[in-house]
Amino acid sequence: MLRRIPLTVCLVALAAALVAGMLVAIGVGSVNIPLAETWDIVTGRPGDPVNAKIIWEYRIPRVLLAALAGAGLSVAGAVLQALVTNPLADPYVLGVSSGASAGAVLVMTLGSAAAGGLGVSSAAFAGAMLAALVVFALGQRRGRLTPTRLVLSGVAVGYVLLAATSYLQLQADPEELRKVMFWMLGSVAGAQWGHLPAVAVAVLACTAGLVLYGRRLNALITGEEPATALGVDVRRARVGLLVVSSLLTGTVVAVAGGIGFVGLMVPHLVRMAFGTDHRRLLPLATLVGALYMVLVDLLSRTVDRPAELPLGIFTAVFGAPFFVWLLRREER
Amino acid sequence: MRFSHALPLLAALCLPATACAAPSASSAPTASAAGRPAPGYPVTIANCGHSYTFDRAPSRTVLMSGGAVGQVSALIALGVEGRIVANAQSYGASDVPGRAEAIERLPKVKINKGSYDISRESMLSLRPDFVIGTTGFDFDAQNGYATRQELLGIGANTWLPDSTCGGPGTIKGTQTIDDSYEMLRELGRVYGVSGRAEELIARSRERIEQIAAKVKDGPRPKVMYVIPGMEMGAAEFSSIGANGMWNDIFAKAGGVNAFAGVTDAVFANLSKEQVARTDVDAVVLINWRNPDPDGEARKLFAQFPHWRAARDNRYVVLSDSAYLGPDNAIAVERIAKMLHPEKF
Repeated sequence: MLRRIPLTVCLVALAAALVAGMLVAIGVGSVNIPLAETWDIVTGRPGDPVNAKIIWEYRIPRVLLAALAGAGLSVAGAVLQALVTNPLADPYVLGVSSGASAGAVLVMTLGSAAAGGLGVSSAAFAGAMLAALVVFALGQRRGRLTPTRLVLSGVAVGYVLLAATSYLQLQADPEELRKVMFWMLGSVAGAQWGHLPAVAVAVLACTAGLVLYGRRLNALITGEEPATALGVDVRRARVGLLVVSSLLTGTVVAVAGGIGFVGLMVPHLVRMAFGTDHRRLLPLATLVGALYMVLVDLLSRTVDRPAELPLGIFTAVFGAPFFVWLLRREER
Repeated sequence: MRFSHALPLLAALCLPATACAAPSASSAPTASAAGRPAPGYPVTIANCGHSYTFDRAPSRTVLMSGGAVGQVSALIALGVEGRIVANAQSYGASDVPGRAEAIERLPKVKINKGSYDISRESMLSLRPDFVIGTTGFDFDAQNGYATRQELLGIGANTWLPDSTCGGPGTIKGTQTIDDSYEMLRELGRVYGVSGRAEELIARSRERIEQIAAKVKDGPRPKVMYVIPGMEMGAAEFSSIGANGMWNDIFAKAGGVNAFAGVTDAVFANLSKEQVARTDVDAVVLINWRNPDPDGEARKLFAQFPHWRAARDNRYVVLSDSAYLGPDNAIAVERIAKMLHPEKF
């Protein structure tokens, strides 16, 4: 079984798969560019300037953003599941994604003045943070953060924000609505180099920090009392994890829109395949999430070439059946 | 690192190596690459706060979707449809005989299902030298489209109607028939067919003036402008034109928009009750991807039998002549004949 393979071997194998996947994703797209020419362009040899622009300005940032988004959402999901000791937890259930959507849709329909001059991405990020803050405040009881309260507050806040988002959508004219729909279904089609550094820093720094924190995450899922007995300051740990996972979700959703199901599926998938130890789970979920999103994005722009489809449709259509199959296999 | 920064760096790295071929600028279809400007050029057009210079008439035009057909119609009316390499504007109807078929014959391009237009990779691979859009939405990177700056980078100029430079929902003022003339005039200059553009404008002006003179002194019936099947908002009646070019068209045709005062927006979002309370003497029904516009009129009149329009069964079905485009005179004439048949 994969669980017995040393972490280093798994990491190297998955990293190699990710690099291979990214190269394929750069080589194939909605427009046909011969592989040899793509290779020339990627390695810096002069080629056709339009094709070079397609590869450098469009495809490479897009593939990188897909990888970062997949990694960020998967790690956020894994952390949230540990935080509330609930297998259903993901950025959607905790209301964080809904907060991001409400912020983004507010700017898209009413203009940036409605959100104090913020752009779509910043408004999405602000919305995610605000939602997390409210959920966090409601999830407390006498200074203690309880998992069940946190999940229920997340669901409640999520519904309120969803209602607000729907209301805003109804005010929109058709073009705004197209923009909103496109954003809500998630896409990395608008990826730009300028977006990448912030996302890369957030995803890599958060993941690295969390991996170092892996032992305490392991203790946390055993329950509040055992964790305390193991020397974990449960309250502080929960606050820290909520902040980190909201930061991750907010950053990713701000640039890639509402991509659902990844944060739920990838952590479970990695747990089933590689075991539940967070010191293994987190780095592996990062790579699996990245690879999954790169492949999903590749599919989304090749099935109906040269037209492109939103990511959110594919993450669920391809993810869910695979997930169910995995669950059933596990039960046998 | 952005590509524009990366390229000089890569070029610098290339210089010492003899195996490196120099990047050839001539392989790009840029206007500047092919030497001296053509006779009558350069032409510089101010559009949306920037100026765009053409060294010759565009030969690889791409038209983005935008829902309507005004831009592609203008190019056909100007006789430059041969310079279109990809057209995404089409909805299968026109008030000009043969126009819908002419649009259908143009080279098509597949559009995105998610964002309903040409993705940025496809756009660049079409190697356009001129891209015409409908609103700022068409050049918004967030939707996955190539930006005006990126297109300029591959030698393609871009154009939008000046009233819709911004993104969705940022229409400046209320369009009039003069906006259609302005579009013809600017595109005429771009393609070096200003004479043809001025001729089209003069002919349209003359025809509209004649009609307006005939109906000048009559009563001004209240007209409803509605696009059945197009949802512009949440209310039951969301595609009632309130403030748009049609108001100018109605004024010339001797009518007045029954719904102009209900909102400042382009389209009114009304409930059935609000619609019922308004007096409507005649209906202009816009055929937009609609298989049975006459059936829509029957449905509307069955709902509001108390309208004078319903009692007189007074409606006209129009399509592309009733908004931005080269053929507004047709709309003026057909609406005038419906409202004031005794004058013709």
